[in-house]
Amino acid sequence: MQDLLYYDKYILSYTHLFSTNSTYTYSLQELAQLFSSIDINNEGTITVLELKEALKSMEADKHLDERTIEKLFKGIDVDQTGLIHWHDFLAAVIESQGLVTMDNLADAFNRIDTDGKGYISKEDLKKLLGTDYNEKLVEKMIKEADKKRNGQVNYDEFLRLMFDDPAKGYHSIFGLPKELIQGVIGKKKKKAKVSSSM
Amino acid sequence: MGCNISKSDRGTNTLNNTNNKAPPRRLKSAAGGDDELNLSQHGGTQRQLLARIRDNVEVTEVYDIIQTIGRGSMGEVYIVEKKPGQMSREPSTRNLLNSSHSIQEVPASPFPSNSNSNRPVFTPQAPPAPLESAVVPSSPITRSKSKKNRQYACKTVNTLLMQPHEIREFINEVMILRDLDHPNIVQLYEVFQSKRKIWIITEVCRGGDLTSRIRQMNEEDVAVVTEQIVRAVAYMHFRNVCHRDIKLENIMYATKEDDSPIKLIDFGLSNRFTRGVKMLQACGTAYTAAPEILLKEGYTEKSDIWSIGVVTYVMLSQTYPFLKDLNDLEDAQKRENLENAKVTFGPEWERRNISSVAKEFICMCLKKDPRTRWSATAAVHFVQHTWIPFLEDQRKISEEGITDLGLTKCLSASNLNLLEKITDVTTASSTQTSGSFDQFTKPTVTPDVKAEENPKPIARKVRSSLHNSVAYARKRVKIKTAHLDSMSNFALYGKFKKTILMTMVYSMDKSRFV
Repeated sequence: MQDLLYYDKYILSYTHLFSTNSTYTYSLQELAQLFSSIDINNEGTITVLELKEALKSMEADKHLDERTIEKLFKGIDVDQTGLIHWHDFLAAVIESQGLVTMDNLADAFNRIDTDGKGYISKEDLKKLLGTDYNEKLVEKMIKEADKKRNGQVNYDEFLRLMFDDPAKGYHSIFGLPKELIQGVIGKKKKKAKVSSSM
Repeated sequence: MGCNISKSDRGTNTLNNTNNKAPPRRLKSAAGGDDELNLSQHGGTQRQLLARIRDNVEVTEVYDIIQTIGRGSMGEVYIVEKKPGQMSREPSTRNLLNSSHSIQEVPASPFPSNSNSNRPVFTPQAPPAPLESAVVPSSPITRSKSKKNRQYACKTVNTLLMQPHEIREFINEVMILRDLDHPNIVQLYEVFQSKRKIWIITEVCRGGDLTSRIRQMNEEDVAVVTEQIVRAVAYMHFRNVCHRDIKLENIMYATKEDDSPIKLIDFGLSNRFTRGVKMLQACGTAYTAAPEILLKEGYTEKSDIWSIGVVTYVMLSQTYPFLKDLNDLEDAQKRENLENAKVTFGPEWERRNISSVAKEFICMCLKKDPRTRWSATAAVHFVQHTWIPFLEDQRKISEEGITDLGLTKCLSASNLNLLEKITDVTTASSTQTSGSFDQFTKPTVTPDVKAEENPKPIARKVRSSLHNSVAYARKRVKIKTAHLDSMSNFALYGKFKKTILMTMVYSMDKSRFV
């Protein structure tokens, strides 16, 4: 129980830091404006051309080449319609707003696990995908999170998937120096205990 | 309507005592087994299914009804709150406790369990609390109740009191709404269907409809609102959906803030159209109805643009261009004006100093011939590239205190006497520019006026609402590195993680973060 409080506190303090140290706030209105201003032809969706245009005008040191942008676009356009809709965009930038919180994730979990079983089954995903369903896809999706290899995803595995990105480790949420994380991950349980208590 | 929906007898619930009143005749007629009347038979793609359809679940199991905000002949509109209890259920508790127990033995965890050791004090450098120890209780079992609960709007209809075609219309609204995903269109969250009722849970708009603020609007506010309406309509038309009932009452402010975005609501009359094919069924509201609807000659999506023209007209002048209500149809003169699309700009327009650009916008939306009437895209283009830039220029000029235009907007008690001085200057200068809107010349202010009265331009005191327009945001809002990083990460995630994030943002109560 106390652990939970601590955990929530971490996330809260993290998001707090995030929002004060930088210019990002929880403003979805600002994101809606960003979305609308990228959408130059006012059709309410973002095309790959519009994304290219927007990235060109970005104030950044690095500029992405066309192919990278196309890949990026395909990655965000989850259902491959060639258009990024408002919620696709929101899902893609939500991490920059610090809104991937325990609260919101618990809600998402409950929404996917429709009947409150406590885990996400293949059946749940089938319902979620509708006509986009195919068996292989669901297998693949479950595998993504199913650490215990029992064909279902419980809340623990679910949270791991969201927070525990092998590429970035905890870096993505907790802003830890990478070396520290690699140190921790690289060592075995006992040693890791030492390093984490330091 | 008790047909193929379910065998469930959960139907009798607090909300629901209407089954006695229901005429049995309709029960029979619906019992034929009409798949169309069952929402869950419609299926859908992953995107469409983001708005979840649930059978045999009473809305009261998941939401608490907080307040009734409207009552119609077919049903009610409520404000509902998500039950915190929804997160916890008996079986999930057991399951999670078991599973997290075994998870601790999986060596793949990046952090060891140290729930017994001293808890580290949090600094940004400190390692996070181990996931597994956090997870044991952090499963959806307990949630802090201090947090504000999520609120939604809930529209319900009693299917027992409805004819099958009415049910079909209602289902039509649901099916159209779940296809629309736009910041200025009300978002559908969930649909519940039981034996007797359908509930649709949508985003709640707290700011009231357009009529509630119409008195305080100046031309800038109108331009900003119009831009949003036209953008939403352009999106709909692009997706072959025609709203068919655009009016002040169907445009809502999302929040109570002054700079609240607006949302288009009530898609009960909206319809899918095929480009170039005319619709015939007359519907809508008298004061926003286009002449082609009145004349029953068939109409296209362009009648939405007409309605936008009327809405803009009313916002700007607070008078009605043609009809006020159905009774006005009896008035031969008014009827003729509408049929011939004769737009007149009365004395209100003079008094309010409304620009010729705004008038041009209205004239282009209120063209009698739908073919020469603007498309939604053309209308957005005009708002963004002509109207808003014009208002910006006008503001700039008035900020320098030279022109008579826009001065009324700068009126405030504190600078009244300053205003008098400037009015003197402007009357002098306006004789040279003959008061035309389009002939702005470089301000030729005598420097001593500025210096002696106020070093700051007076108009700065009134915040411009133009800042909220998309046209303006294009200059100001840019993708930031953090956004790009987030997007690049997202693009590399697996399908499941993407789906979860999509589900998460979709079901978030967005009004809490505005």
